[in-house]
Amino acid sequence: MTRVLVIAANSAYFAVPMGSVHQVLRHPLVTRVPLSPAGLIGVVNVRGEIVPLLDTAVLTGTGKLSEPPFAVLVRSGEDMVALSADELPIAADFEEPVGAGAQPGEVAIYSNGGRLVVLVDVEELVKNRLDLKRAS
Amino acid sequence: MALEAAPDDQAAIDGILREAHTMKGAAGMVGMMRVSRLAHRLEDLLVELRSGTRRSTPELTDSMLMVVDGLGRLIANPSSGEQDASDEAAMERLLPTPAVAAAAPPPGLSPATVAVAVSNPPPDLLSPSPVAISNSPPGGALRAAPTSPQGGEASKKVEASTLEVPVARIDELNRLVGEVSAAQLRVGHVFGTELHMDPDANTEYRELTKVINQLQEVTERTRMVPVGTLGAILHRTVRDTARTLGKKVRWELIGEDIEVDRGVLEQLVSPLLHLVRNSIGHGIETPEERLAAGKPEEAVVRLHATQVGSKVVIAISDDGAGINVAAVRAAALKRGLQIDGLTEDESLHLIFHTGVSTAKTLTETSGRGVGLDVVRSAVEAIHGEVQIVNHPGAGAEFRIVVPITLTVVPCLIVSIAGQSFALPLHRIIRMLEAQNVQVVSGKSLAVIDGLAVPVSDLASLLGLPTVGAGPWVLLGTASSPHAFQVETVMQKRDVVVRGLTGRLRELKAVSGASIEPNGSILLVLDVSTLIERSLSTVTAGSNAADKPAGPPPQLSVVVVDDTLMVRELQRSILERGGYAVRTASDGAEAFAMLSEVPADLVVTDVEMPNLDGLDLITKMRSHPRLANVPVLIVSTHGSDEDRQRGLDAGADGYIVKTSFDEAGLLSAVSRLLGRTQSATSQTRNGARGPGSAPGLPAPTAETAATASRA
Repeated sequence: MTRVLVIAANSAYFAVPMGSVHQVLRHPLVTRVPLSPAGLIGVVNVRGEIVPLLDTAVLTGTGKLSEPPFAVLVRSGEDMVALSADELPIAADFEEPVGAGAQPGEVAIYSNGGRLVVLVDVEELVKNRLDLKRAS
Repeated sequence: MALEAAPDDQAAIDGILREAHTMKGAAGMVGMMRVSRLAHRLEDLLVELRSGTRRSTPELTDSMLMVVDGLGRLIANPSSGEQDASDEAAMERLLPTPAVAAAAPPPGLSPATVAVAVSNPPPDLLSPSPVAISNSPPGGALRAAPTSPQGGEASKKVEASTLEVPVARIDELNRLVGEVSAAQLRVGHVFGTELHMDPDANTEYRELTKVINQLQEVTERTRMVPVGTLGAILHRTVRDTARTLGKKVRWELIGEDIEVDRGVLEQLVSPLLHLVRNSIGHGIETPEERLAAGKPEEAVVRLHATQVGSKVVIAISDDGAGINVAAVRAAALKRGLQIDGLTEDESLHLIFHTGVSTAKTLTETSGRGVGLDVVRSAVEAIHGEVQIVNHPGAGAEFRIVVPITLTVVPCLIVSIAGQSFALPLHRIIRMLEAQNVQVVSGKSLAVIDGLAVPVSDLASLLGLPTVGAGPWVLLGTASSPHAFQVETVMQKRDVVVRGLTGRLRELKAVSGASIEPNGSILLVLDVSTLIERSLSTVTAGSNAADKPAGPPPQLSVVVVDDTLMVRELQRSILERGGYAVRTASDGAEAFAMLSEVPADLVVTDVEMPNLDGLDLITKMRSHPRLANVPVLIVSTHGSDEDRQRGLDAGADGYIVKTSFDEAGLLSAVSRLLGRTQSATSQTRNGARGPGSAPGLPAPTAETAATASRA
């Protein structure tokens, strides 16, 4: 059984291992970063630490979230990143996957409460879907 | 080197002997037998010097210094290999028989390990302890922990009160204290927004602020090291270079206790080494030439460090021949540089171009034409600048002006599309009103100070909506400026910049960020990226293109100070602020200058020869053309009595040098000039009006003098 936090983005659902989650931010105060790629909504101040707020929808190819009401603070490798969410994230326990992930960073697909949820590896997702060196 | 200057100094011999003896024993204990043997031979030699059976000579000093360098290398690479063994043998051959030996390359700065020495003067742990952080590679590059040439008890005492701490831990401590401070500011913000209370009205909050400020000051000091830390390596370089070139040079170090951030000082090692080599190689004449020119046979190379507000000025000067500007121009022409129409000062600055060298021959120390351009690049990388003062026939001075710390950066805060951004002041040449823009070959250009300068709308460049057309900010360097139109210029202030971490470091347009009191994040824009991006963007038009023409009239300021360094620093700040500046070295010179051509404002020191600042103000107030010229005092004296004396004499503002910075000076000057028009209109009959005239800005720390006088 895997304990996860389910994140909604544009009516699609993704999950991150609960062990990597630090905090859920409500209405994060976002500072936009000029010339940043679409996957970076901006930066947020988390107890004095400047953390990138990533667009979960862009990272997962489901569209775009410009002003997310929630952000999930997760550990990604050595870094801390915040993932945007357009619903209050909820905890869940995953048993067996019902399918394999199709894209880099997608670990497996689970069924949870009648919804299909993709468990993601945030570090892989960021590595493959976000190029901060490329200015928009 | 001290022994070379005073061969009979028994205390110096004893001190070195003790060090050699200690090293011999310590190395033997940890199994570094080569080091131990070499130290033993050095000890033998020193015993001969002490007993008088051998005399100290420059050649002997050469050998001993090389042994010390070699010992450093052996200690840094304790793994015994064949190379080490051959080095040791070479070193032993260097020392005169039957004593020691050694050979090693000239003192390098290859940083082996980084050590942090924190001196903790007990027992009062609450007092701000002097803290030193140093690189201490063997061979003696940077040493911060105070050392005593006498060694013995003094050394033991120092060792007992110092503690080696990894630099990373110090940095982490500084970061955490910064977070505490930011959190406290956020609490203050919550007081205002949620409780509708002024946090400073709360005693506990005020107490917390005070303690956190003290904590921040003390922790920031842990990163500070005295400029004198570089004394040994520079002295050695001066000595070795002079001996190599057959010149007689005395090394002087003034202001060795001035402290600067360790990161800043580390970046200055290479430029300073280059400058002293440059002074000896290019500037200082041979002993014969000096005697023929009526100069003492022995030349002087001097490092003079001074703190001026939040900056440190480190000047390397010599009493050599100075810089031959004609030769510089010829060398620049040879390199294909455009020199027509350049002033003397502009021609002088050609030596910062790659490949421009006046050396006739290629030597180990000079002549390749690389170096001074690297010096400038290295200094600019730490937000500093290099200035030159040339006295043909009498010497030259290279003045490096750097911020004391890189964590607090004076910035201009601008608004673009409703968002605030910070632009580092050291990259700003000046601000100006919008000018006429013409599109040439797809580029928007404006003529500023006789130069066709590229112009960009910053909002468009950053991909943000253009809300309104505001003033221009001229960024880059004086020789290669770039104008950016911003929406609004909000203020100049110090920004506590933290570097971005993790993936955010990859962002090119942002060089850092700061947490604001309300918890928001202020981004510091990377000026180089802005310019680079702007130059690569061909624009068919610009929002700035249709702006009204007409440069604003340039206001003039006279700076009066008997210290050249301070005078020139103030001049450069004010010129960057867009003012026309004249300087005078005392009150008498300033009064003569002003009587001939008045200025819009005078910035003056108080204590000066001939006519001091207060007497200058008194004379100005009784002069019909100068009575209404505002005067700003910038003095080292900051007591209430000093301020009152300034006011009584007729000063309009007062800044204390220790709290002086670029933003503060420009702000005070701007305020005083802003009030000049209204004040002048009220006092046209010659009587000076009170400082509380209608329309005056609220009094601030610098101009509080005016208000209290009223």
